[in-house]
Amino acid sequence: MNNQRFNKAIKKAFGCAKKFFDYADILYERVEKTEAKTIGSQTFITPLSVKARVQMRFLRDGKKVSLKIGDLDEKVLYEAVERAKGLWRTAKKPKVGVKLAPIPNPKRKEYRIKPGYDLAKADPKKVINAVLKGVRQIADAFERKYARRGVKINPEVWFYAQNEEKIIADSKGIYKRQTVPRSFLQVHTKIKDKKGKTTQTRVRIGDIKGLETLLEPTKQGYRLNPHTKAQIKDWIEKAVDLLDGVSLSAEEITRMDHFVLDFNTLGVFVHEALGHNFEADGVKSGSSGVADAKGKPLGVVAAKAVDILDGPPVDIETRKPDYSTGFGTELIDDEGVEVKVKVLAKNGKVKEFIYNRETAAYFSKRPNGGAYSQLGDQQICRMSNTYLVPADPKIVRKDLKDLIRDISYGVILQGTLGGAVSKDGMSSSIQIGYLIQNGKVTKTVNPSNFSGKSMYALRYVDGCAGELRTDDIGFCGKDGQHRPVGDGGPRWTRIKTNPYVQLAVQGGS
Amino acid sequence: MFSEIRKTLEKLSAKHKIDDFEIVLSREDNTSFNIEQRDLTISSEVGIATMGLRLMKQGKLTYASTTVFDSSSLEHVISAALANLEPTALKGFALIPEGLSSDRADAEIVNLVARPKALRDLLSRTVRNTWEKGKGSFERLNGNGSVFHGESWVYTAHSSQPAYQRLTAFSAYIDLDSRDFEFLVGRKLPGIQKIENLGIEVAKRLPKKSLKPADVGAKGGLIDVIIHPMCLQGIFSTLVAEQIYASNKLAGLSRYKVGEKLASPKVTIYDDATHPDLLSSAPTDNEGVPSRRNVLFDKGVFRTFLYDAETAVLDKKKSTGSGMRRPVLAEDTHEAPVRPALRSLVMEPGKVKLKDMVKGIKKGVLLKYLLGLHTADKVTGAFANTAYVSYVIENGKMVATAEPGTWAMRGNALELLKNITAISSERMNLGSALLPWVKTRLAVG
Repeated sequence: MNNQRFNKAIKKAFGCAKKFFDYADILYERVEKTEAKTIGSQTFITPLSVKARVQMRFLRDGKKVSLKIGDLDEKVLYEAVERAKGLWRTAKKPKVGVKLAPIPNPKRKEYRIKPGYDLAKADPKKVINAVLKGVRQIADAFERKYARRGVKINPEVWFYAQNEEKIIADSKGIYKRQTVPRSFLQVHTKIKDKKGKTTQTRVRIGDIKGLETLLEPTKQGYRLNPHTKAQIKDWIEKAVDLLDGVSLSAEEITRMDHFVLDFNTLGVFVHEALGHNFEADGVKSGSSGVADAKGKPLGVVAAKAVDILDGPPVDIETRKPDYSTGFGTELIDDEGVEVKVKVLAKNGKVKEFIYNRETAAYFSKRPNGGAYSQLGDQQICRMSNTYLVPADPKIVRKDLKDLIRDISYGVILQGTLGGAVSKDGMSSSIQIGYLIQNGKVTKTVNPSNFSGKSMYALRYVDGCAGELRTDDIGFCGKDGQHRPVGDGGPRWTRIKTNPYVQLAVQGGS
Repeated sequence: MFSEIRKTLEKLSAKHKIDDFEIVLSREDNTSFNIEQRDLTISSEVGIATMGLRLMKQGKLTYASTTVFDSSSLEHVISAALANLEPTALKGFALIPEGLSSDRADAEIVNLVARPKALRDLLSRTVRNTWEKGKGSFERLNGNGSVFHGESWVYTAHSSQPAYQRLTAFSAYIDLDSRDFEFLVGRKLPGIQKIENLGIEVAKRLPKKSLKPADVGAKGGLIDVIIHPMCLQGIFSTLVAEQIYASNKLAGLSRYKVGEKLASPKVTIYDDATHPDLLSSAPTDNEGVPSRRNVLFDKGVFRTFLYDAETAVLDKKKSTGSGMRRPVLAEDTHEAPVRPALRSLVMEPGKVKLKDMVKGIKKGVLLKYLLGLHTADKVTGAFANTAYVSYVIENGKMVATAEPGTWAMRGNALELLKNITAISSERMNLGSALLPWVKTRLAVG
C-alpha cells in the first residue's frame, strides 16, 4: 500500500467523521497470493491473485455502525462516512452501550515477520512446479512400492503462498501496520487398490513464514524440503494402511478404557470443544458452554493437570512465546492490539477469554489481541493457535510406548479432517486409528468421528508424551469468516473413556 | 462498472496478444442487523466487487483474480498470469447467446438496503413477539436479518454482450438458546407476518428436556430418522454430488453409472438453475453456458453427470451448464477453479405430510443438522457425525431435543439415497435448494 495515498484518504475520512462521531477506526487489508490446485486429473494455477478490502467502524453515544467497503479511495471513504451517519440514525442503542478498550502500546507503528524466501522475489512458475512435481514424485514412488496390490494414488494438491499487509488507524491518531508472509500446502491423497477399495488421507503443512515452510532452493529453482517430504510420505503410507482398516462396533468401543490422541486429533478437540467457548463475543451472547453471559465460569473445563493456551506457541518449560512460527500467529490483531499468550484454562479452570476491544471493554478487561476479520469483515473474537500443555509433570510419560503400556483395550486416534462445534457439543473427524490390546498396537482402524460435551471432554486427560506440537493447521470458519489457525498439544495425549466423549467408527454396525 | 473493466481488458488483451478471455464479475451491497441477546446492531457492505478471470493464449489457459480494479493492478495480475500458461482441452471460451439478461431485483429490498429503518422495525417486532409469546421456553435470543442487492456479469472476449443478472435477497434467522433455530430466505420479502412469527414457532416446539441415545435405548442400533431439508442439502451437496461431478468420473473416483438405479424409486432430483424461486439460479453458469434443468435422478435412475466445458470436451459430451467457480475449501468463490458444480438442487415432493411422518415413528430422530459433515468421506460417502439441533421422537411425538454431543449418527450418503422410504409433501426453500423432509434409517454410534 502506498502510505501517502492511505494517509491522504483517511485524513479526509476521519476529518469528516470527527464532526459527527465520537470515534472512528479503519482496517485496510491486502493480500497477494500465488496458488495451485490439482483436482482429479485437472490442474488449476493462479500465478497472482490480489485482494484488498476496508472495514470502517463508527461510534457515538454507545451506538456502533460497521461498514465494509470495496476500495480504499478518498471519494469512496468520504461517501462511506456519509452513509455511516444515516445508518447510525437507524441503529438502536443496545442495553449496554458499545465501548472500545484502549489499544495498548499506541506508539509502535511497524510490525513485520520477514520471509526467508520471499514469494515477491520468486518466479511463481518455478515455485508451483517444485510443489506439484515433488508431490507427484512421492506418489509415483508409492505406486512402485505397492505395485503388487495394484495401488493407484491420486494426490490432490492445494498450495498457496502469500504476502499479507494490514493497516489499522483511528480518529485518535493510532497508526499500525503489519506485514507477514504465510505459506500452505494440503495433500489430499485418494487411493484405490486393484480390488476397487478406496481410502483417503489428508496432510497439511503451513506456517507464518515464506516459501521455506515447504521448499528449499536448488540451482535450477526449488524442491520440497525434507520436512514436507516426510509429512507427505507419512500420510500416503497411512492411506495405504487404511486398505486393511477394520471397523469397531459400538459394543467394542464401550469396552475401551482409553483413547490416545495425537497432537492434531487433540488440537481439533481443544479448538472445537473448548476454544470457541472462550471467545468473549460468544460468552457475551450467552452462547458459550464454559461461562454464562456475565463471564462467570460454569465449572471445571479440563483435567487439573493441564492448561489450555491460545496465541503463539510457547516453550513448555519457560512458557516463553515464539512469534516466528504458528499458522495462526500474528504480531498484532486486526484492531492493532499486540497479540498475547492467553491462558484460557489454568489447571483445568477457566482463567481468561479471547477478547476484541469491544468485549474487553464490556467485561472490563484489557484486550489481548484476539480480534480478527476476514478481509474487510467485522473484527470478531477468534482463536490463533490453541493448544493444551501439561501443568503437572506427573502426567508426562517417556514416550508413546510408555503411554500405552497400561492400556488393556483402547485406540490411538490420528489425524483429522476438521471439526465443528455447537454450544454444548463438538464433533471431529478422525483419519485413522490403531487398536491397542494389552499395551500393544494390533490393528489399523477405519476413519471415525470423535465427539463430546464441551465442558467435560478434557476433564479425563490422564497422561501425555512427546514434544509440544501446534502445527495442526486449518481454517476456522466462525460466522462465515475463514481464518488460518493452528492447534495441538503434546505429541500424544491420553483420555480415560467416560460418558461425555464417544467414538463412532465408519463401516461398523 | 462492467463497461470500464471490459475496455481495460480489451486494451490489455490486444497489448499481450491474448486470444480469448472470460470474466466473472460481481458487485454487491447489503445491510444487516445482528441480533445479540435481543439487541440489534447494524452493519453494511458497500460496493463489494470481485472478479475472476481466465485467459487463453496459443491454446493454453491461465487464471487470475482481483478485487482491485485500477488499470495498473489489472496489468499486474494479467502479466503474472500470462507467464504461467498451462495446457487445456478447451479451444476457446463459450460464445454467450444474446439476450441472456435477468433482472430479478425486488424494488422493496433495493430500498431497504439503502434505507433500512423498516427492516429494523420489522426485526424488532420479530424479537419482541418471540420474547413475549415464547416466555419461559427459552432464555437467550440471537439471530440476524439482512437484505442484499447485487449485480453480476459473465462475459467472454468474442461475445457481443455479457450475461447479466440483477438480484436481491432477504434472509432472517432466529436462534433460541442455541437449542434450535429457524430461518427464512428468498429473493423477495416474505409476508410480514411470516417474519414477525419466525421465532414463535421455534419457541412453541422447544421441549424442556434433552435425551441421550442410551435414554431411549437407541445406542448402537438402527433407528428411524426424518432428515430435515437443511441436513439433506448438506448430505447431498457434500457427499452425493461428488459422485455426480464429471471431473470425478474422469478421475475414476465416481461409483455412479448413467442408467443405473442408484436411489429409491420415490426419488426424482434435478439440478435446476432456471428455477425462479432460488437465489442460486442465474442466466448462465460461470462459463457463459445457458442454465438448464438437469435431471439427476428420475424415479431413482441416475440420468446424467454434471459437466463444465473442459470435462465435456474430455468426455466427448456437452456442457450441462454446470461450470462454476467451486472453492476447494476456504478460498473466496472468485478465486476458485472452474469445475462442475451443483447449482440449484430441487427434489420432487412426496405425498405424506411431515406431521404424519412424525406420527408414524415409534422411536427415532428428526435430524436437522450434522456437525462437521464437511469432514465425511467424499470418496465412499460414509459419514459418522454428531446431531445438532435435532429432536428425539417417541410414539409419534417430538418429546425432547437430542442432547448435544451425544448422538453420533452413522451411515453412507449413497446408501441413504437408496433407502428413502417416505418423502414429505412440504418443501423448504434453502436459497440454493428446494427440498422436502425424507424418512430413512441410520445407525446411532
